[in-house]
Amino acid sequence: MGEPLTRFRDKLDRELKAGLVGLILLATIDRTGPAYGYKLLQTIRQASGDRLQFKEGTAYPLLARLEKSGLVTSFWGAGEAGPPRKYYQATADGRTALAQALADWKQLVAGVDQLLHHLHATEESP
Amino acid sequence: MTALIESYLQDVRRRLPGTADKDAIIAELRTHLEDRIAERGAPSQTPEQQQAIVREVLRDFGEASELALAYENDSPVLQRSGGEVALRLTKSAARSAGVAVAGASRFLRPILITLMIIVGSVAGIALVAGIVLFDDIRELAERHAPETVYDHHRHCNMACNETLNESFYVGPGAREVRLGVDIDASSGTFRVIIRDPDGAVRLDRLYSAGDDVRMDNTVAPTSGTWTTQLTYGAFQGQASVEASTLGLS
Repeated sequence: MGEPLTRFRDKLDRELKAGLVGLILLATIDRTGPAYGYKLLQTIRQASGDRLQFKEGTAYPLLARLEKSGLVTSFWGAGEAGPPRKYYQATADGRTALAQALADWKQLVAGVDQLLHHLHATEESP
Repeated sequence: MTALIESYLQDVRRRLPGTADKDAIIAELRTHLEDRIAERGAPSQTPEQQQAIVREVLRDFGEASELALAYENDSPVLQRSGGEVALRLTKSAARSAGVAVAGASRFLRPILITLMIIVGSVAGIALVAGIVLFDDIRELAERHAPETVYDHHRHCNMACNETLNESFYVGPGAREVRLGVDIDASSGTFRVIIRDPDGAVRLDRLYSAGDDVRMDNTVAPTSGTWTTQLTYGAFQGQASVEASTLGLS
């Protein structure tokens, strides 16, 4: 793959993830119940079949912002081993926001899929 | 092994915004790094191997400066109220994707559709965003950082009395915004208020007679139109306000 294409794809990948990691984290917290950052990232990695990978450090500022927005709460509790961990759990507002965001996300993806399908079909037609 | 981690964490701590709960943040990051290093089997390795593992874990975790900067960004990840959730999510993805499309589409248009089908529905968002935001973002994508996006300079020999409301644009590719103020006030007052596109105040300073100040303040970027409100109150002297972005590419 040439350099422009690689740059384009890397940038697309990076920027899209930047916009979606918050949603991914909130969805994972909602499904797993109280969990600390490392466990959340493990869950995301495993549940996505290693398809969703991002710099792990980026998750923590996003978790802090989710908390600041009132979509999750946190508490310090015992870990499986070692020092205490910071656990996150979804609030009622968080669950509401998540449901709405997921519905909108699905609609957006469906719309884009339909558009691409249409464009692709148009390109192939004589 | 510990020294490397502590050095990294100190670097993060030093760069965290003043309002952050630094102890809690560092404690949380430390447990993550220790968990990851333990998962990689470091405790059973030789010291050299341990060092290599730690370096790799830290590299994967991300640059200390970028991590700390991310804590400074106050914009919410998702809004709580109804339709704004979708708007925030969509705008975020669209703005981001739009940059990539704009930069490449002139050269790659013939194969753009094929590429997007390969990367699936996620990449498809870029096409929609690219169509919507193409003109604005192409211009930004072609810029090179650092770039001055706002430059106000005034020399008041006679007393200046007025309020100026101006604006500047920060592109979606910016990694940080630098706000600079240079004041030499012989009398009166001069107030600078800079707000980001969400309306949050990013800089609010009042200068008065006798101030001879030059300051640079780096803040987290928010893409969109920033506004400045410059209030001269019987001000005599020189005033400069600048904004520049880093990381547009």
